[in-house]
Order: sequence, then structure tokens, then C-alpha cells
Amino acid sequence: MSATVADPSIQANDKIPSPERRIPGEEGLWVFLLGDMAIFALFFGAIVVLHGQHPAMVIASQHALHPLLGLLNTGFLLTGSLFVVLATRAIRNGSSGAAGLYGGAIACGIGFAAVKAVEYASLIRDGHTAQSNDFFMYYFVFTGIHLGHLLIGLVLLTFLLTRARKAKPLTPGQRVFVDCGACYWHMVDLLWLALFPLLYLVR
Amino acid sequence: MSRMIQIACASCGILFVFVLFGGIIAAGWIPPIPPSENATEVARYYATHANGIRTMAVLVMFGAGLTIPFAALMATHVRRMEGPFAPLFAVNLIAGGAGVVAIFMPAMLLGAAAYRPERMPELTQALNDLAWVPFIMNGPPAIAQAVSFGVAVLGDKSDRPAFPRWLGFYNFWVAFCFLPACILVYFKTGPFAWNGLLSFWLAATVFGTYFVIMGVMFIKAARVVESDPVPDPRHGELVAA
Amino acid sequence: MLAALRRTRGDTQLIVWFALISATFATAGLGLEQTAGGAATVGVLLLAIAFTKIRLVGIHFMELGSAPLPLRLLFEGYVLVTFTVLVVLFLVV
Repeated sequence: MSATVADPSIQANDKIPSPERRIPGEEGLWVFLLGDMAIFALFFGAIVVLHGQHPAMVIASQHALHPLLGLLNTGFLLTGSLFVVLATRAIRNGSSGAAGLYGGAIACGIGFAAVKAVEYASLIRDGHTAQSNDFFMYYFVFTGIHLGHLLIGLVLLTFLLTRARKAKPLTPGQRVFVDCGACYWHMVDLLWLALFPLLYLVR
Repeated sequence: MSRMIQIACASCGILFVFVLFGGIIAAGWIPPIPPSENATEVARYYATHANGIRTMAVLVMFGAGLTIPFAALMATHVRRMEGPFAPLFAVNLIAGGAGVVAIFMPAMLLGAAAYRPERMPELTQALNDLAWVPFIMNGPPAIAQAVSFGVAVLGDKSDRPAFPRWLGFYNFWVAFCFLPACILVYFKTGPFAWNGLLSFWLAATVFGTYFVIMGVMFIKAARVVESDPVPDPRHGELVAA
Repeated sequence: MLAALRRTRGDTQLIVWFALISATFATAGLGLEQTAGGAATVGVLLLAIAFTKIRLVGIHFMELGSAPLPLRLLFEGYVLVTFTVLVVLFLVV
């Protein structure tokens, strides 16, 4: 790291010269985030393998899903992530808009959960449950675990919203917590970006 | 608490991993017996590997015993980090106790299953299911243990914490890894079956490394904890409570 | 100076969001219009878009672009390895 700063040619190539390359959140958080992402990678692999072994069953099941609802949910999560990016910047600068921006992110998260509930209900009404076949089992289990992550994220964002309402500047510990919450929320977004095409679209 | 006792308790956790996997290997169950096998195949396996499975039962039973000092040390750490009013400590201790049962009980059932392998095949299969399903599926004790410890580590406000903060996050991740196995009852093949990628290989790897990593961290922490002055007033409050 | 830099980065993040939304529509169009014949190419393309999006989220939203090199490489490695393994599984199994 110090070598990077000392070498002028490398520094010149950097778009944003950052004297402090810093860890987003804290070091330990990444043990959890990357670990979680690794487990989800196994889930992704399981879907692809199932697809390869029983293509007809998977494709028939995919036709029962509602890709437009999945698309809407991708929009909710991406927009929620943008709100969190803006909120993080606002709360770091101590500007007043942070609470509203966290509110926007929470609204996106609730929107996602609501759409998911509608989707689950409609699938179950059509007779597609986790018991129907392996694809639907994977669908309900993997999206369910993802939804669980999202709900934990909503709790974290609510904490951040309450904190953002106070006028006091952040303590160093709270600064770290703000970053941790943001990174966790972005991970929920990131995991869905792979789950959505794998479950709904890859035939 | 003397440093040697801490190190002994921590080592029990590390030793447990060797005893547990030693037992599984003794029965020839890496990979585990597939849940998709029919009663005749299961019974034939028990008939030809009876002594290996009996050895596994004995080893895993003692393995469960080895987790007692380990769980006690973990709970004591939680109480130290949490302070006088310590619900997390209680959660951790109860979960640790339940964890002992979770390992002990399948070992007993395996012992019974391998005791008379010449019985009707369906009965052996039923006993085999009765052992393997809880053995792999029972995540909640370990999840409660890991989460309560993780929360305690991240909430530790002391000037010289005995554990690095990543260990707290690591515990959350471990808890997450035990989730997929909770639905193995729905599957006889595939990644969620009790011999599958997510239910067995992931859970077993994470479970094994968890005890080793935690054991090593406890041994490292022993020095820090021993040099801490024991806060007598807190102790008094705890007794009073 | 610092404030100006922050503003630049904010703009980048906004552009990234637009890119992600556009890519999502492209994914949906590609995925929903596909016929049975060209499935393999479409599948690989969908995965490629998905993991490009994932990388963008990591680098720009999680701010891993300005993280210490080991952490950034871990993330880049995750994206690359997961994508490669999935494509191989998709084509081989």
C-alpha cells in the first residue's frame, strides 16, 4: 500500500488518488459477507446443475414463475441500493437528508418483500409449492433465505434511520456501523442479481 | 479461572473434531450412507460394517462429552464479555447443553442400530434414519450458540478485548452455514439430502473447522483473560442476581 | 477538493445505477424473448451480464474499488471464479 503511494506513475494512473485505501465497514464484516456470498455461490451452482440434469422439468417450472415480478424486484433492490449509497454519503457529511434517504431504501425493501409475498401466494394458489418438484423446492428455499437476509437488512436500515434523525455527529463506532449496514444491504442486492436470472431466465 | 483450565477446555473442542470424524471414518461413512438406499442395502451395510459403526457410536458419544468443557468455556467467555446482567450467557449455555444432546443422541441410536444387524432390514433402516436425520439436521443449538457468542464479541466494550471482531462475524457466518441442513427431511438425493453438498459437506466442513478455530482463539485468549483483574463487585452482583 | 472528489464519485455511482437498470432491462428482454434453439448462448450471456452487474455493485456501491488490494482481489476473484464455474457447469452438466 505504501509502495503504491510512493510510486508516482501508479498514482497518476489512479482516477481518484486515494491516499487512504480504506476497508468499507470493518475487516471482520468481510469474513461474513464474502462467506455468505460463497454459500450463495453453492446455491447458484445447485440451480445450474439441476437445470442440466432435468432441463424439461426446470423449464416447465420456470414458465409458472412471474418474471415481470422478478424484474420489478430487481428494480426495487437496485434503487434501494442507490438510496443507501446517497444516504451513506449524506450521513457521513452530516447533511440532513440522510433519514429521508434511508426511508426511501426501507420503502424499496418493503416493496421487494411485498412483491415476493404476492409471488409466493400466487404460486401456491396455482398449486406450485416447495413439494411440487426440486426446482420449486430450490426456488422457495433460496429466495426464502434471500428474503431472510433482506429482512435483517431492513432492521439494520431502521437502526440507521433512527440514528440519522439525530443531529449529533457520528462517533467513530457509528461511522463503521453506517458502512457495515450499507455493505450488507448492497450484498442483499448483489445476491439477487444472480438469483433472478438463474431462477427466472436461464433456460 | 486458571489459564491451564482454559487451555484444557479449549483443547477438548479441538480433540472433539478428531474423535467425531475418526468415528465417522471408522464406520466408513465419508461420504455418508446415501438416504436413497433401500432397506436391504442399508441392512447389508450394517451387517458388513457392524463393528465399525459400533466404534463410531462409542467415539461420537465421547466426542459429545468433549464438547461439554468447550461449551462451558464459551459460555463463560460470553458472561465475561456481557457483564452482570447476562441473558446471552444463558442462551449460549443452554444452546451448548442442547448441542451435547444433539451429538450424543444419534450416537446412541447408531449403537442400537448396529447392535443386532441381523434383524428385519426395515427396522435397521428405520434406526439408521433415526440416527442420521437428527445427526445432520439439528442446527438450532449450534446456531443459537454461534449467534449468541458472535453478538457478545461484537458488543464487547472492554479496552483489551480477548477476541478480534472478525471472530464475531465469523460466528454469524457459521450459523448461516447450518441453515440448509434444516430441510434435509424433504430430500433423498441432491444437495440438501443428508449426504449432499449443502447438508453434509458444507455443514461438516464448517462444523469441524469451527471447533478448531474457536479452540485456537480460546487458547490465545487464555493469556488475556488471566491477566485481567477479576471484577469482584460484578461477581457479587451475579451471585445476588 | 475533497468535496469535489466526493461529488465526482457520487456521479459515478449514479451512472452505475443507470447502467445496472439498463442491463436489467436488457437481461429481461434477452431472457424472455429467447427461443429454445439458442438457449446455450443466451444462458451464458445472461450469466455474463449478471456477474458484470455484481461486479459493478461491489466496486462502486460497496466501495471495494477503493479498498485495500487484498480485499478487492478477493472480491474480483469471487466474481470471476463463480462466473466461470457456473458457465462450465451450465455447458457441461
